[in-house]
Amino acid sequence: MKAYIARRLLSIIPTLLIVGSIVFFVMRMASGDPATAMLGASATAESIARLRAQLGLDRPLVVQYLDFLLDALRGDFGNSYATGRPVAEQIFAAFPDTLELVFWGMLIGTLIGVPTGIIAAVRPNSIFDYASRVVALLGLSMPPFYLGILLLLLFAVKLGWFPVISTPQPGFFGRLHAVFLPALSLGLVQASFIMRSVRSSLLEVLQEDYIRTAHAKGVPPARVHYWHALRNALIPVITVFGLYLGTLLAGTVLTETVFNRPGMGRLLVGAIQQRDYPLIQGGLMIYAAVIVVVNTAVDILYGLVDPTIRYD
Amino acid sequence: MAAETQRSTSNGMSSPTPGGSGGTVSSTGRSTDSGTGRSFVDTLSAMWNSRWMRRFRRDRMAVGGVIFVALLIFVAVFAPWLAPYDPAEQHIIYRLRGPSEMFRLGTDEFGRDVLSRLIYGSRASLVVGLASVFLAGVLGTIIGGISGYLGGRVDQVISSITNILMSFPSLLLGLMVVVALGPGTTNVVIAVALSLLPNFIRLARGPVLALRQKEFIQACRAIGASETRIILRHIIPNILGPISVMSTLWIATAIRTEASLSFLGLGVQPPTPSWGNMIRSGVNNILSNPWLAVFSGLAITVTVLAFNVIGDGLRDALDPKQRP
Repeated sequence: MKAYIARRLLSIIPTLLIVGSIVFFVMRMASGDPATAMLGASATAESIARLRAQLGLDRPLVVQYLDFLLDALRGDFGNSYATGRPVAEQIFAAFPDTLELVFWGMLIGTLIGVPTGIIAAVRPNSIFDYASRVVALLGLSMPPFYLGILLLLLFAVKLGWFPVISTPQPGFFGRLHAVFLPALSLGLVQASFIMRSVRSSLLEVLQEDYIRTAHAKGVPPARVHYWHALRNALIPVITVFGLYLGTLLAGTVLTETVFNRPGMGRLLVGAIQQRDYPLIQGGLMIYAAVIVVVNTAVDILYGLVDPTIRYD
Repeated sequence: MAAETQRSTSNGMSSPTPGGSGGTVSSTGRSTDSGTGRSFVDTLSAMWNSRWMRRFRRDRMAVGGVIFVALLIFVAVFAPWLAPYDPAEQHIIYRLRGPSEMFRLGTDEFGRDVLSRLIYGSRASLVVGLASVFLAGVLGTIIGGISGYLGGRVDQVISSITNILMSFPSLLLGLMVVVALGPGTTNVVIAVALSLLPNFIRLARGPVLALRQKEFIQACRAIGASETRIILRHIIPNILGPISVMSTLWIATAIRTEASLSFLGLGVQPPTPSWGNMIRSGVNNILSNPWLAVFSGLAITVTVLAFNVIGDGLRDALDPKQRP
């Protein structure tokens, strides 16, 4: 078991290395030259060359690549072209806001999605099952930002209960007030995904022989559903949780834009529009690192809760 | 093949197929020698009468989805005849108006008719959705097929990279590619295709792995067929069915990703109308004309819903074991 965990943890390193390489080379394929982009079209060839040397863009690609990897390992992603400040510093400043949004979004999604999925599976083809499936299908067909727009229109523009621009205010309740609508819009979409996986996983487990045995020997139905079945049904759900967390994280890019909320997503989109390559690279690497770590954690958790999994 | 189809026809469709559990290849009812010696029409009619197709045709929601998509394609093709105005025509006096007699769904910030732009915008969504899935499907089938067929080192490398990429949300992958290539319709097609590619590689690899062991492939090898010929003539035709069916589900994702990229200003570029960039201008003018964002978002939602419903229906029809 320990060896399994250790191996999973160690596998983070090559994974991040591969991801880092992809990010680096994709960025270098980029169509525009950052030096030209920074100085504008009227710049002379000389000043462009000078800036390229200053940014280290005139060195051989392999040297730049190794440099990037070594620096990234130390948490150094260079300085932003636009502001001149260290990329790590800017990401560090923006990350808590995004993390807050992800946390509440996932919480709302889980609190709504898991119970709904359970009820739908226990009473298949009931009105509740049918209604929740239709709503879930609608939820996952909506682009994540569209639900945000609708909530914004209803609760902020029409009713005025929430700010149109969700800048976090000081204090716990100030933050909660600002995060509520964005988190709800992410959470409801998330709930649709979670509901569907919980439902289908539980439905499958309920058809197992040991469930029939439990019913046959007179175990109360509630105990069969919530004790025997649910524990096993949630195991595969854990795996998709990792995937959903990644989707949620990507969704923050859109949600932050809709709600004008500061965070990683806004930082990344702004960097893309300004061709601020170090900032784009750093931002993508952080997203990648979070996703890789979450997936590894999910893998380990999976090994812990599922006794039938083999560790070799 | 023919015998099996006949049997299923006389059987009716009430009995669940025991073959359904044996993976997607067998559950389509296609036996291993299909696709080579028969005409396209034969294949189509066999598909139409196959067990899963009959199950699919009973699924009212899925059939509704098919009808909607057919309508949408009609709208996209005949946009010039259906749109009341030129989508680029600016009516400066009527900027950002709500729905009225004159402009059924209102106007945008340049006074352009929203209904006409939605009609023309269906082209961008459909083109990006279909083209990117097609591109990803072709590339993914080839890469996944080669990976599964060759096995060994090649398979290991391809699979591990695919696994890593699978854990990334398609929006993030699409974003990365669009950053590299720059915005624009063609680049969005490429970006969305690459973001879907890992799914298709995995989808193709599994069945190939199983097919490789089959007797008829060994027989091909024994009579001296080249590896290329085996892959192209015998392996690929056999995995095409499940892949093309699953593609429908990915069209929904593709349209959503296109809308998201365009919404961020990185997708289809104005003045070409796309539902995503219309939502973008709707959000920028949300206080003066909220209808703009509402209608364009609705168009995306309903279209994605239609493809999702079709995809769900196909999956249920192909794998009756999953059905409650």
